[in-house]
Amino acid sequence: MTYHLTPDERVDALDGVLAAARRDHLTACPRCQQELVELQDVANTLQHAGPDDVPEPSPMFWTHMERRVAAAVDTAEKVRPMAWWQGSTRAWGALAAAAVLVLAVGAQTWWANRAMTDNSVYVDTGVAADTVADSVQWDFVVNVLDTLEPDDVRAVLGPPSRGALDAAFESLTAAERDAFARLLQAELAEGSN
Amino acid sequence: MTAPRRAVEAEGTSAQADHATADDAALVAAFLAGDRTAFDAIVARHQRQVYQVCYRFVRNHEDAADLVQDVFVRAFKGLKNFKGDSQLSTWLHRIGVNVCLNRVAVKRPELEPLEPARHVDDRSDDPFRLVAQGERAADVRRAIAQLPPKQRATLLLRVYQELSHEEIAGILGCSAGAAKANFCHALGNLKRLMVS
Repeated sequence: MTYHLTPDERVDALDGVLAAARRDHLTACPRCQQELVELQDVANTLQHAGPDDVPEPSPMFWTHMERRVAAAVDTAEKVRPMAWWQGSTRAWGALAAAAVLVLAVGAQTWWANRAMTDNSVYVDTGVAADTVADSVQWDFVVNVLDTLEPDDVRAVLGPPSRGALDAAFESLTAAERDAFARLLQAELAEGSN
Repeated sequence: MTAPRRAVEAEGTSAQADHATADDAALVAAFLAGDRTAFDAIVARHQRQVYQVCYRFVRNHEDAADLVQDVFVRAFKGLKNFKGDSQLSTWLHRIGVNVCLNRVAVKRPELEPLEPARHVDDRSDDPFRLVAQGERAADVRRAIAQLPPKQRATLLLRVYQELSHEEIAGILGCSAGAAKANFCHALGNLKRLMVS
């Protein structure tokens, strides 16, 4: 072969493992010999500069580092990146609550109207029919919300579409919005405790 | 101390003793099976080696310690993807070098002062020789710090970590031939830098 030593072959020559066929070229090629001598000079300089000893840290450092790594790993575990559907828990909760509220109020209104039409117990109590109906609706909503988990609601309703929360909220009356706000505040207060 | 707590602590001590004698593959397997203390044992076993790699890149203790932490956090997250087709130490080296290269990319290493303060031991046979050697070593370190990152990594791993070209190739994700070529170019550039 007549071509000169490639860089990796020069390193092989430096390490003394150059292939026999290429050694023949090296023996006959002044240019490759010169390049090898220059590489050897640098390698010798590195060697004579002495070992690049890394200063030994204090004896306590290693124990400290083990604890530090353990703490960092704990933190990293806690703040694992969330999937997109996990990123807005509050929005999911609010949407679920709004949806349940709408359904519950609608169902209970229908039930109360039917009961009053049937001349039921509500009228016989002597309390204004609207107040009784509101009270019963409210209890019904609270009971439903108490028994529902966000995951259950998500399973039933599926993922929310864009703007679904706004649409659900817009459909509420002023009284329903007040009730909804109280519910949310209570939930948030409970969650922060 | 309650009996259950004593039992738990005894179990922990026993696990630590087991980990101390287990090989790396067994520690990885234990960690993947849910034994977090196995990872602690991996840290204890390899932290010195990782520290040395990091220190050689940044040349100061504080930054090296930060990098060591970063390396092991990445290892913790990535260990489930560790195939075991290379040594754990090589794999940790790879993470270490990548972390260091990333660091070097955003922050140039601090160059050593031209006249570093040196402690000379008067009891040694030849303090003048030691001073000369120290100056030469500082010159070499300054030149190494100016090498392109991959050449620098190759040189540090080859000369000071004494790794084979094949191991370096595994760490840098290239062929052994490319690692050798990198080393050759690093030596050539080092020569020019030291002359200038």
